[in-house]
Amino acid sequence: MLSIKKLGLFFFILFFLFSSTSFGHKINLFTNQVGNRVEGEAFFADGSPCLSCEIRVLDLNGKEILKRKTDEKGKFSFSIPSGVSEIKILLSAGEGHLVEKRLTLKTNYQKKGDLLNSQTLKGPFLLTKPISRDEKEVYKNLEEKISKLEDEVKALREEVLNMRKEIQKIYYRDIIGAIGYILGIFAIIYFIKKKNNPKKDAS
Amino acid sequence: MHISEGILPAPILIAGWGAIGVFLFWSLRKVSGDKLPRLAILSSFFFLVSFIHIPIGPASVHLTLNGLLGLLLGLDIFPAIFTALFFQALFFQYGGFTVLGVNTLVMALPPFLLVSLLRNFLKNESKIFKIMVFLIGGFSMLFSGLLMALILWIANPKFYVLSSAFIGTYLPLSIVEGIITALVVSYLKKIKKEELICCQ
Repeated sequence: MLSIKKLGLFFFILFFLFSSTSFGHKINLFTNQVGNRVEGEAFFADGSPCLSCEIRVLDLNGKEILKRKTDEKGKFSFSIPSGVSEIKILLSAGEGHLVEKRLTLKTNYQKKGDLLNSQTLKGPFLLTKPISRDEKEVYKNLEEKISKLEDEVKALREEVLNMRKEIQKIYYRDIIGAIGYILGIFAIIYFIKKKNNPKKDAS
Repeated sequence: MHISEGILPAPILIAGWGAIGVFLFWSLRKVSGDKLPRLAILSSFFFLVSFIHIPIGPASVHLTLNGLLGLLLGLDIFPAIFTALFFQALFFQYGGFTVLGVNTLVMALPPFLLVSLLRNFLKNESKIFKIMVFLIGGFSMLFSGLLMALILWIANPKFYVLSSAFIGTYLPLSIVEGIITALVVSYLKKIKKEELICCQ
């Protein structure tokens, strides 16, 4: 009778564990540079955010530049210190869950209003004379269009991120499939052993 | 509970693979064919249990029941855990292939050593038996955690500091593991004593 009680308790514990659980262990870290800021998001395999995880930003020599913690949505951002062209972002959530990401920074980014304020343009549009008033109007239009495009790109980015989260999810069919493979591998080992040593196993 | 790819330096990774290679070879040579179905089932069991996550602290933890596996499999725990972790790395990118050796060692070595060392205490019928099983279940988990912390510390002493969060996470988890292990093993002892190779 005692064993039935214990078995019941065992299943109760198991049920309790199942009910309050979620898949997820592997951390995904996505980062991108927006202007002079780096924005990032960290989440577990099931799409749940990595809450108040420590973010360390290092330069390539391993020297720490700054420290951040992710917010309640797993997001973080920091402004890029001047004179840094490449950084390493380290994210840790304890117990060896560490993600490292290398990021090459674009240094010639343009701030809003850059185009308008600049008196001369660089590169292929090299101008030597100052910009006239009509041209200023044109640049203003361009600025507006660029900012609209930026908004659209941001929306697209979020969509891509959501799709990536979707891909990272763990499906039951994968788990069941993997169990099949495990059983299959041991079956192969069984047959190899039987073939090599039929007498030993017959006994 | 695993170490991710790209944290450990090459010497530790190679040492992990070397050690696990020896254990795998030793185990697969010794194991008899009729034990293999059991090995396969318990390997799948370990694989499955690792997906049950409990949110404690910032990261979620999961049961491993490696103590139970050690009690039921003995030396064969190495191929069982290796296969399970292999597929976790392949299908779900948990851990990775370069760290597979180290990860298997972390999970399999503590229960194997504990069961081997405490074998004499498991043979008798006394009340110590249940306590022993509980302790093996709990300490397997705890030692695995400590072993992992140690390896991480060796790899990078600056980065990894054994924090109080570690105790807060692993201690309750170890107790749960110990209880479950004790319940399962004493139940198995009642209904199918011949299956418990460790405790005869």
